[in-house]
Amino acid sequence: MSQRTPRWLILSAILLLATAAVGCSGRTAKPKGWAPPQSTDEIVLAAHRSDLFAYDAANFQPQWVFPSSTGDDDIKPTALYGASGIDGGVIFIPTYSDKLYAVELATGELKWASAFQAGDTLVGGVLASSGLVFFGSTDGYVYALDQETGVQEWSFKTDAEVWSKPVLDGTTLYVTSLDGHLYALESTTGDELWSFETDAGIAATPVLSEQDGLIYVGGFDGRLRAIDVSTHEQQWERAASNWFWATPLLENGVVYAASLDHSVYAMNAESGEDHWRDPFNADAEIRAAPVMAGGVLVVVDRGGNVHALDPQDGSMASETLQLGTNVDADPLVLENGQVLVVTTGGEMIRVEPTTLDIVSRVELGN
Amino acid sequence: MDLLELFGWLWQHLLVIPMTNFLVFIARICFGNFGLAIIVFTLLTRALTWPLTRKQLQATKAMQSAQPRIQEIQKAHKDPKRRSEETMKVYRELGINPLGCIWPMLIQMPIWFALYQSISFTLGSTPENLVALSQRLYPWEFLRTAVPLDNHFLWLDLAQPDTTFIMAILVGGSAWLQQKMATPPPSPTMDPQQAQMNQTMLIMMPLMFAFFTLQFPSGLALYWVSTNVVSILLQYFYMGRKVNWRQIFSFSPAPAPAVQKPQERSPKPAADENSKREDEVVAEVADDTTRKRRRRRGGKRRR
Repeated sequence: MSQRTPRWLILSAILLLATAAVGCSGRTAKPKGWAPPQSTDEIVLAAHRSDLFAYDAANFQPQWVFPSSTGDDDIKPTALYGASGIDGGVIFIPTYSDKLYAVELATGELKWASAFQAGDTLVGGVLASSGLVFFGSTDGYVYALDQETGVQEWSFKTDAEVWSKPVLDGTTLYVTSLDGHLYALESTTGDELWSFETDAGIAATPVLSEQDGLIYVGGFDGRLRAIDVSTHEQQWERAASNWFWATPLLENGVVYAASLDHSVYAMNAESGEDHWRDPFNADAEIRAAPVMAGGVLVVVDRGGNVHALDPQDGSMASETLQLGTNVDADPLVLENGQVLVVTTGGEMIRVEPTTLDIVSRVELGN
Repeated sequence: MDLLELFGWLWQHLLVIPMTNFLVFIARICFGNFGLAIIVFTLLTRALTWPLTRKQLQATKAMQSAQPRIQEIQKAHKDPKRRSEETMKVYRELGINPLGCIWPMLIQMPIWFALYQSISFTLGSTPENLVALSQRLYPWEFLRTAVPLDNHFLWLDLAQPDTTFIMAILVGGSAWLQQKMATPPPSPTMDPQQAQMNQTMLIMMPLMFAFFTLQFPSGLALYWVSTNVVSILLQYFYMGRKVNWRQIFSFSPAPAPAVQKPQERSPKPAADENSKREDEVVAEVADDTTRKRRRRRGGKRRR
């Protein structure tokens, strides 16, 4: 009787061993997305992975879902990261493919799928204003498209990924890049007006104070900087022990900035002096932007812990709410003052900011 | 913290995180070019693990040289117990530890897996990965400001699989060559099952790695190619440049096993240069072992 081991058994064993071995290393990571919830008077938008859900702002009844509402099976967003631009009843949705889509806000029907194609994915948010749509791409370009047609008006090349949302002041467009620069561009032509170089990449969306003439930007060098938009010089900086990724919040002359070092910093917007005696230490790193609601500063860390802080001294206004699931998306303050948090697992949770009581908790799509 | 959590913590903090930081450090020195960093990192890790690699090569060389005698024993003795005794006798005679080529490889395997993970983390192929990387970097400005790294190297986006098939061919080809150099050449006395297994491994492993290359970030493929090329060079130089390229690139099937009578030594084909060389190596190894033993005995006597 032959004792030869069957060939299929040998092959299976090799295959199993190799798969187990290489499987330990992790494949190409799958993008999950962290597009923030947004609202208008009629609609509340919340994203999970590659779907954008629209709800009636009054009663939270589902209205439509992108991309299925478009009826176009060829639209494959992969994931949604950036905030959509909303203007003139149209929502401009950046996707983690290389496409931007214009959708009717009321119905979710496709207005146009841009003929334009970026060289890489879209991670940053979209700004829709003055008949144009501004956004950056992983290919390093900042693009401006015509709102009506989706035809490209101009583009501006940076030296690395543009993962932030542009900010417009008059005809000056401010945008940050992972090449470490804050760029000021002429919004009608895309010409560079000036730029400010930092020591590392910038993924955070800047915040502009028209009153002080300062723009606040945090970067991977662990510094939040205030840059004078008229002199183009730095006014002050605040160092953290890890990167700033979250968009800072400017409220009542104070800049609140959350860092991936688990801390929230509060500085006087003009002088940069610490507003709190000590930074607030959260339970996990913070990527989501802080928001002000009901007189308290609401901070959500990546571990799904919701903190309500006294904006005056950074002390806890109520006990931390633990959602038990991760959060990367910026929270949204609703018209009624509640805070809407969307988790990476796809839950939409409404929270009363002063007490941190959960008002409702629903799974997106259900 | 249970045992599994402790193991995970140690794995991360003793291997993956230090490696990740080291990789970012090298990338920073290499002008932020991650492709160059992977190649330099491969060379450095191979240099660091050289004592283990050398032991493995020594053991492989000795095992290869003993193959003709082992195969003869397998042909000559049907009784497994007797066969095993005779084999162990040969190993003892030549000073070979049968597991000698396994344990250095086993020690290196966790290093390889950790390295794969480090490369995956450092690539920051998605925004979430980049956020996760921020938690793995040591709080040194030199490292923290190095990110994001330039993922472009030659035609590759190191964070994405290479769709041109070039890396798949390079990975498969280099893996095949490296394995072929390490595999004993088929001989008429070889056990058919062993020959079949060798042949299957020789084809399947490179094919599988080529397939993985199409699924994984090309940064990992670059690591595989680099490490294979280093292995090929090490084997080439360690084996005393006695590589029979004609035999390696010969795609002819293994010769059929000769029909032998029990206890009869198979006649060596006059033209079989490999068998001749193997005998020479066996003699060399045996001489070395005898010399070592004599030295040891002499040392003991002197003491």
